[in-house]
Amino acid sequence: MWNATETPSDILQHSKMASPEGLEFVLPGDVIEAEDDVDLGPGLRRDPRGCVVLQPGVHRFRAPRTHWVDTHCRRYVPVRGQCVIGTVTARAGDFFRVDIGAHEPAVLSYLSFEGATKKNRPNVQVGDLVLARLLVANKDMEPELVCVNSKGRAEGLGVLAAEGALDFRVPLHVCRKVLSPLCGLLGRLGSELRFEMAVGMNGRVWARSDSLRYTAAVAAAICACEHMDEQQIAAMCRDITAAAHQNR
Amino acid sequence: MISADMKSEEGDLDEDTINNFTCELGVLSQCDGSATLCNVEVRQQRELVDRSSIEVTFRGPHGVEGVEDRRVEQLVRSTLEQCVFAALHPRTAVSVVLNVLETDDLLLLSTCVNAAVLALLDSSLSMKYLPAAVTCVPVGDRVLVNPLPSERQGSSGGSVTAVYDTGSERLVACRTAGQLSAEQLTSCLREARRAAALVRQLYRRAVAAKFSKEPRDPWAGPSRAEDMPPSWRRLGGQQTGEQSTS
Repeated sequence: MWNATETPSDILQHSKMASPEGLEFVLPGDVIEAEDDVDLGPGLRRDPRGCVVLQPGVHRFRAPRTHWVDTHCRRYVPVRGQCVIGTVTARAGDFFRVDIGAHEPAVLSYLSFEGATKKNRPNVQVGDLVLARLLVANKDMEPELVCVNSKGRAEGLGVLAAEGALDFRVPLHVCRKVLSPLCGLLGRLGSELRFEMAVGMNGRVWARSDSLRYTAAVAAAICACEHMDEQQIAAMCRDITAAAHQNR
Repeated sequence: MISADMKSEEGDLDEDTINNFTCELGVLSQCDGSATLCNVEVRQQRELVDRSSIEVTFRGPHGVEGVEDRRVEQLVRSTLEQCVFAALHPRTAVSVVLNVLETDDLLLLSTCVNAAVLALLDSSLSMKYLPAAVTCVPVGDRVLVNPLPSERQGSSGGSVTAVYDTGSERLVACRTAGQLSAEQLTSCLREARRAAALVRQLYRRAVAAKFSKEPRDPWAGPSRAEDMPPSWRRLGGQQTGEQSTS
């Protein structure tokens, strides 16, 4: 039962104080007053009520005028310009169908590879993993991928080798966390282990190292860092690299 | 697929919770809290070209499905259709599956709505507002909010399940059972509106726990109110102005 003398505004005040330490945690329906010329990122939308929160998370701000909400999400919504990892599911004439975990399979033209021409087709089979960039991504059309930049260079995009590699799924915020400049995970792992990896913003990660043992260590470290802060990540990296180097 | 497991159980009264249900997010590793926007193709007759279609499946505690189960599904679906931002995801489906662990006939409906909203919060699907459902029972001159079976002994059998928008305090849905006078209905709706704010506090606690390890400045930018520029202010909840910047 609840205290009948509290008014709803008192309750709201208490609930705002229950945020995680020092963070502005917001829920859908919260209204943030912002100037007219601010840039709104994911999770925010302008409404007659003002700047309305659509997704639960931490309200972030970057000077001079960018607001967004950091969410913890598993389902990927395609955004133009992001790099994603997809699985080729079908060949359909002049293009491939690639599953990137979005609402529809994406389309990848065979001419969108470095050095590809009509007579020189890329060697892509059904079941291959590709790292590609989203060229077209909106809610009304099927996503389109390319494996080249605007100058025709691959620059790391293309088919990812399957031999000796592990590809796994993590929540989307783990991808962002791992790629964040202030997260020390990749730096700590890289100083002890030799590996290569690709992180897709759709929550898929591909990693390869000298042997499957080291590859599994890298994959375990990335999966485990979801619920860890910086000190815990440092300790976890020490443990994992020590275990990986240990002779059986 | 979003799965929401609910329990209504007796326990010590906690002044901060309005009913004694426990909520767990992420119980199932494969699908709990993840809104499957239909990687499996939406069936053609259900595909909507301009918005997402919401499907609710309710599995009652009894083996054979009946009309009451469909009524629960209909209320939950109509509530979610209003609050989910379906226009952002056309030609997809949001599938919500509700499984009952322990049942209480009176509190079942409000628990279903709240559990569905919690699962949608866990999945971070875009929502316009958060609905909160509360069951009120008039007993004598008082109105009990989400009463346990032991507490509603003296009631005449009438009850009101009301769903409120916790932001604007508008009534979203209402279902009554049994006999109620007009005054009882009005007082039940009034108490339910006040209690909906407490349900929002419950949502906040449940979901904010996921962000306890969130770094302060992942991209070296301010995230606290006192670091925000002077032009940034927050509406509502700033009664004493202690969080506003000058």
